Amino acid sequence: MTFPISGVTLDPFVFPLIGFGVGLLSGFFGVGGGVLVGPLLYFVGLPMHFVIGTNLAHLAGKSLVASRQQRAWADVDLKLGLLIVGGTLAGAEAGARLVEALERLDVVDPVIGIVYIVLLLAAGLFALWESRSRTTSETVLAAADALALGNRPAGTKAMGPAPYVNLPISGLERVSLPLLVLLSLGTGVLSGALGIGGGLVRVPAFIYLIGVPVHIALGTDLLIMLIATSYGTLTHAVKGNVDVVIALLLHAGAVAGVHLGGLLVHWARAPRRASAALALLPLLGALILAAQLLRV
Amino acid sequence: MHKDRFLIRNLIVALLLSGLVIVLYLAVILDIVTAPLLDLYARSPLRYAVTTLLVVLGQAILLEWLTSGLSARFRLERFDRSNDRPR
Repeated sequence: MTFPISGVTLDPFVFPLIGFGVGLLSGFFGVGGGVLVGPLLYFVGLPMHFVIGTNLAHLAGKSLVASRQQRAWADVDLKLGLLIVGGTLAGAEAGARLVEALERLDVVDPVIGIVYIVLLLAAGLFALWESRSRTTSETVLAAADALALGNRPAGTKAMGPAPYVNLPISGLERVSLPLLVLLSLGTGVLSGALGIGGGLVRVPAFIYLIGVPVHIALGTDLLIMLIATSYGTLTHAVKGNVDVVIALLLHAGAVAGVHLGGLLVHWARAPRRASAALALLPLLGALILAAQLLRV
Repeated sequence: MHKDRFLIRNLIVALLLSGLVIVLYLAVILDIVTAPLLDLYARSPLRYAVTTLLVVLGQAILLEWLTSGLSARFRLERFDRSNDRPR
């Protein structure tokens, strides 16, 4: 059938199946499935600007549910969130306008595709490095650990130029404000331009650059992601980049997949392999995207 | 062994329920929602954007409530809880 908003003609079960498959991985490994949605949507033939907007809409629904399920509000550093969210929204708007400009120049597919691949490769290699360094000291990971990227490195100190702010909930006395602004703008641009939540970059930056404790980094990131993806959905929808029907189908499949993946965890004791999956899923996403870019 | 059988039963029930929910959703979304959303998309981008966000967040809450309710109804989470031991 033809999806009239985006104009693509596909079997309507494709999108719930993508959502289901990715949700299954997310539920099974705890994290990571979201990085596959964009590449898979592009692979099945959705135009790149619709991939970006539609993925953001699907992520908005997912992050709302995730924040409720993980009781994330209990682990939010509201001050950090407020400091980050303004820049993130400005960056997201800039990213959405960048997509519009690239679309006018008819280069949105190669430019966004290559940036996406570079980001996924970097995320995959980082996760690989992180999992190798962790598995040398641990053989079995608890499920809660599998959700985290690592513990706060010992001796993390304030980095970046003045002025500094203190973040008492995160236990940090001197955090560079320009560093926070730069981080918020950068992740916002990535979110608006690539249709991702930004947590791929933001969470490691919170933990390794700023020194935020892992559970607060994850909780605060979910709050920022919900706001950023909601704003991204709005601005991309106004620009005509969101096929809401596809987003709803993706999300319906994802809910079922996450639920089933959660049941399978107990059978396979999957968290043991979660760190490896963290590395493999972005690399797989990069491969799918590269294959489709070369085919077009 | 008993736990394995319980898990397999849970997986089958979850798969059937998930399949049913997805098929119902396909029917509802494709047949009822598509036309009015397309009309909004063509006529008023701002209203389309706000409606899109509300519909997506609304569906997230609805499906979460539905799956949680069905899990509780069919006792799909009982196995999970029995396995949740502190490590």
